[in-house]
Amino acid sequence: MSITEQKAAAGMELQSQESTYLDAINQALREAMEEDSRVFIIGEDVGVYGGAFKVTKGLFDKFGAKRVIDSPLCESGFIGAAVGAALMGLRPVVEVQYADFISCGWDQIVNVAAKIHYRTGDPVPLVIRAPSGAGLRAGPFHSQSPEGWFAHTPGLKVVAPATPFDARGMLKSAILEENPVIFFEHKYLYRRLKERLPKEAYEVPLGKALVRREGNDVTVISYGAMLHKAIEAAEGLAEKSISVEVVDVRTLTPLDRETLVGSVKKTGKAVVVCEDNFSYGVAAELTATISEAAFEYLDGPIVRIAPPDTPIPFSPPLEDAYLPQVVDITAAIEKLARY
Amino acid sequence: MSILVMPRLGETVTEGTVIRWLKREGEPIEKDEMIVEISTDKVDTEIPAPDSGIVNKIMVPEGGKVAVGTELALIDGQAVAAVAAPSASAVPEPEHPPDTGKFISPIVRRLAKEKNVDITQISGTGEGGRVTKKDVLGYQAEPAVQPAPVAAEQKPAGREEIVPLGHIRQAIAEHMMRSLRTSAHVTVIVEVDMEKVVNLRRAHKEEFERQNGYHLTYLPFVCRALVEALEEWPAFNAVLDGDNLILKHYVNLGIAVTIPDGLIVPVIKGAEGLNISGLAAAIHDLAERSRSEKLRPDEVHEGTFTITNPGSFGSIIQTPIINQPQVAILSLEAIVERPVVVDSAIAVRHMVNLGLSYDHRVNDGAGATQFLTGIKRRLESGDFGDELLSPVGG
Repeated sequence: MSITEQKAAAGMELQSQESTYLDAINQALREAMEEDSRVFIIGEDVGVYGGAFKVTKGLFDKFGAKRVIDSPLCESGFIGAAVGAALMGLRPVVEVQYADFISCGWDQIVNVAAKIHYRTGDPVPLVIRAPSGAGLRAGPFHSQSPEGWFAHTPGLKVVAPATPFDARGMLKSAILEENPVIFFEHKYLYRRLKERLPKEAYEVPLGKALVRREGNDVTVISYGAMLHKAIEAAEGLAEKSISVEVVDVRTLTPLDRETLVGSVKKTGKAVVVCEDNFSYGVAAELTATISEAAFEYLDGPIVRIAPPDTPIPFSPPLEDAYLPQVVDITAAIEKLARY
Repeated sequence: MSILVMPRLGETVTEGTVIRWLKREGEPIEKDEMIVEISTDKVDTEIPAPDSGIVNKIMVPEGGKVAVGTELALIDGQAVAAVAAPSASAVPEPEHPPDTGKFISPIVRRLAKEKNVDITQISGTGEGGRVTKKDVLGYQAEPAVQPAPVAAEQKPAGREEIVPLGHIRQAIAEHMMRSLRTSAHVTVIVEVDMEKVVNLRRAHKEEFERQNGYHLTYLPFVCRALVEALEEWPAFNAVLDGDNLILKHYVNLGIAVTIPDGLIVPVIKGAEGLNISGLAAAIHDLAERSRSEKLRPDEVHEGTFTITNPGSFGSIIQTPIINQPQVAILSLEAIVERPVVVDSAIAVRHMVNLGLSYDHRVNDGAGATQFLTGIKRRLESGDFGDELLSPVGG
């Protein structure tokens, strides 16, 4: 938990047990469904089975089949149904089993959910949860990070929390949001991160980035699983007297330009680390944003670190080579610091 | 069109100041004719034209301090000398600061403007010597010389005076502080009984002076003993380069010479091949030319060890500062008559202190003392006789 979050949580009593990132999402769903009877869940195997990753475990038993709906294997169908439900006043939370499958529901998201409000003025309080990200040896169809596709689409909010605290608090905010939100959960983090969360309900606002670690020499901007590699690189470089500031983007749209640009104005140097592939990706957008807003503060080229423009390999050594690693991030920061 | 660039007047020299243009724009010049006077940390010298032609453009005004490699002037080899009338305008003031030839980042440009700092005056620590944001933020400009206060301060006239440091003084200041920051200085001192050397010199000095036209001093004797010790203990005749010690199996002996503006260290190249007469001749020649500013740039470079002679002004103990990137320096103090105990009796002897400042990163007290006592033993042996007979040799 970051310093800021500890402060935020300072007034709150913490649970006795640590929660994983996955537990945190389950808690947010449970809370939202307890607080508001309009909230329901729909997706493949989310009910009786408790979800492919067990994120919705226990919710079917508590809230019943009308509020935790097992859908057919048809993303365009159940996403479309959820958009309709949202328009009719409910607050659906869709689980897409793997973010890779979301493209089957593409048209319902980018042409319907994202645009209706602009045509009719109606709110679309829809959340689509999508487990994304690589590192689990799951190959090209179960490992992608497609957040850039949606961040490029006007009318959607796109979030990507990196900690259990944020996952719970940001999912709560997403469910309360009147606009459609694509909620990317990094499945590599599901069971790897643990922290004690507040007992009581809380929200983490969307559209706010967070400085996870303060530093003076280089700013590293990241989110999701890559954020943790960036922090590890920063900690390692502290021993070499390179002071690295790490900023967690948290929400891709709307982007908190002020926090990102503010940090780069301070350090003069920026490294952007994303898991989305290199070309035309989130890293490109972040890089362009910085160069436009902080040009006169830059003391070196903005460095992009992202996987190559290929599908994600099955083979573990190849997947490791594909993903940015701590050593890659460290080398890039060190080189930029020396520049 | 030929381009005259600031030459590298020695491997450690990074910048130089244009003292005086010997040609104006529009004037014809021959290849190898002197075109400009340049001053560097190491030496002042005239630079020859790279080509014949007309001086087309002078790009750095007199007084301009620029990095090695900076373009100084253009010489148009095609122009016909007769056509070009001498330009009426004198040396132009450049509108922009001289190009450092290195990338200046947006933040560096902006900060330099805000702080009103000349980027070319900042030594860069970034990649390839690039001036970084930190360099600008950390840069303290040399205080501008203010006109003497008129009424605000009621100091009696004439009791204080502001003297701007000359470029040699500034270079010495920078080098001395850099050396203290770089090396772990320790100074060890031994007393040497110079009686035999004094007698030897006394016996030969008149004949020597008649043959050579200059005095025989004690310095060549000490240099000879020093060179032999350096050959025996090469760890003092060395340069520290990162984690490597580069031992030099030749001795380029730097001699600190006082000049009106400060100090200069001309180098006796291949001092290991010279006997006392040869060393005396080399010392005399370099000292004379140091004072008359006739040294060539390469004569102040590539020293492997330096000796300084404050004793000639009466000092009996000093702790000299190492001449970087060398690893030690020897000071020769004044030779004075003192009562000393010799064979359990008090005798009056000519005694001298030799001070060795060494870099404790490279050498330790035991080695330094052995090295210094090696010089002492050699001098106390007084066994230099035949070296004074042949004028120069090896």
